[in-house]
Amino acid sequence: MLDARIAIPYHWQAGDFMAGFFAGLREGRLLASVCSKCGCKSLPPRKHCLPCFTGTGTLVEVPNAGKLLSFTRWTGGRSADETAFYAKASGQAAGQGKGPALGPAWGIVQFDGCDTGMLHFINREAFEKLSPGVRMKAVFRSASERTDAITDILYFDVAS
Amino acid sequence: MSVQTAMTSPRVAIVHGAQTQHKPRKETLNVAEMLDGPVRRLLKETQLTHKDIETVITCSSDFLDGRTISDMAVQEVTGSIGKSASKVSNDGAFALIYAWMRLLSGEFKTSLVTAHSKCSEGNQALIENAAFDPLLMRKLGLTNLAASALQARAMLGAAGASGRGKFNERDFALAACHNLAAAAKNANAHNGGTYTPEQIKASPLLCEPIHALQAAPYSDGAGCLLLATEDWLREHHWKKPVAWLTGLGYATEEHYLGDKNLAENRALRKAAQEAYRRANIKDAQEINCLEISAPFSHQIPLWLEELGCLKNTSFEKHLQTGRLNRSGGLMGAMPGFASGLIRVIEAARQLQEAPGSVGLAHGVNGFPGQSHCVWVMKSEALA
Repeated sequence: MLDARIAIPYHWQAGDFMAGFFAGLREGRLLASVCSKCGCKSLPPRKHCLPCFTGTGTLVEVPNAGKLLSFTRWTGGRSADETAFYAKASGQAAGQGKGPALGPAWGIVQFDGCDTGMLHFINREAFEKLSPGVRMKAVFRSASERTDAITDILYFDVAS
Repeated sequence: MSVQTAMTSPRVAIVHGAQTQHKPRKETLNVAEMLDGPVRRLLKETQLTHKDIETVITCSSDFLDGRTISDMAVQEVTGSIGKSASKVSNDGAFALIYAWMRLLSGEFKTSLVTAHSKCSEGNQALIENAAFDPLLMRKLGLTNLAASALQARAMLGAAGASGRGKFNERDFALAACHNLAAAAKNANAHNGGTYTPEQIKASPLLCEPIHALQAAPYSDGAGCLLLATEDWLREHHWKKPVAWLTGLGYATEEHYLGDKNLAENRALRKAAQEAYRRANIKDAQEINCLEISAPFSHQIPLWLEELGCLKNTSFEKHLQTGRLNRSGGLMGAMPGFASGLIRVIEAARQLQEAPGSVGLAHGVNGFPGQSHCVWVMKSEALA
């Protein structure tokens, strides 16, 4: 048996359109796309409208409030590999040094006025309060920790 | 070889298939050695040699195999060297499309289709995570399990929220009971057993609402089948019943999990409609055996609904028809990209034992069921 590992660094371009979305996250804003033809509002934004393929063109800010469509939390590992994988993911979910032992939770939230849902981690400590349709908000990392990435949002949480 | 401009496409049949005894870990064998067993058995049982095979389509995942151009790993056992050979990196049911089209073109009369995966050799959570878009989803630690759990929850959701609430957790448990029981009778499966719905629900939660006994196992395994045109079968005076490919449909849906209603699956609905139209199936009740691919048990009722099988019956009643996943489906073994081709092989085998019957085989790719491939076939010996 040969034990080895493939580790290849990549440098993915977000694209000029998605760069606008990530720049919005840096400012703590949620920017959606609006289709110039069918009016479909997508968050995360789509450069090309999925229902009608039209170039959507512009980004508009949406309020940080929406409803929960679906949710789950990881609760057990079938293997050491799997447990290690989710422990790492939950480290990202909770920020540094908080909650990795619990594992990640995820949810899909439809922000007000949007036609699509957005996926992210969910604050696992609020999990018992979750049900379909519950009001949710995005919680951002502190401004100094943001890196123009989807993880500039820490998680979705129940709106109180 | 001349390029033929066929006015009518030839009829194409699955002549025979073979598969490994799937295991959680195939010790000592590399992927080529693992695939060698089924290929040799196929040739022996059909009394053919590699010389009879005109084109070879292999199916494997570069990510699962840990090497790009992963078909090169199996060329010594597929007999592809020096032949017109190609690879499909998608579920094995999709690999059959490529081979079928090559025969429809009139350019080739026989094709060997192979698929293999050894899930034991890689880290499945990392490999699955790599299937997600790197900007929006991969960093969130998603896997097939997490995405499928979001799907299951959406299916349970109240009407008016995302889900339609048509199925409940008991359905998910019954689906697992059904396939695990069938898998226990399948000598090629390595997972299965007799369970009550209560025992299924008492098994550890992996990712709510999915319990351990509702998740298909990761497996090592391989399968292969031989396709041939009607002309070739006549030239060879083929007497045994074969499974004629009468209908095919495949479709895909949105990759981003927030872009669709997870409580339904439009891709499978479209694929099924396309396959039924081509096979002239007016009602899914006409199908005698269904081999569907569901990595998680909650997908079994959803897939059946989109396949049009639950129009006049409940899910629980449909389980009693005895036509669903007699092999146990993926609950018995889920060897990566080989999984869908093994469903095709299973359906064709069941049809060969019951000439005149109609079968359906289904493959899925992407999480949680983004692309679907539906084959309809009918068994019949040459007149």
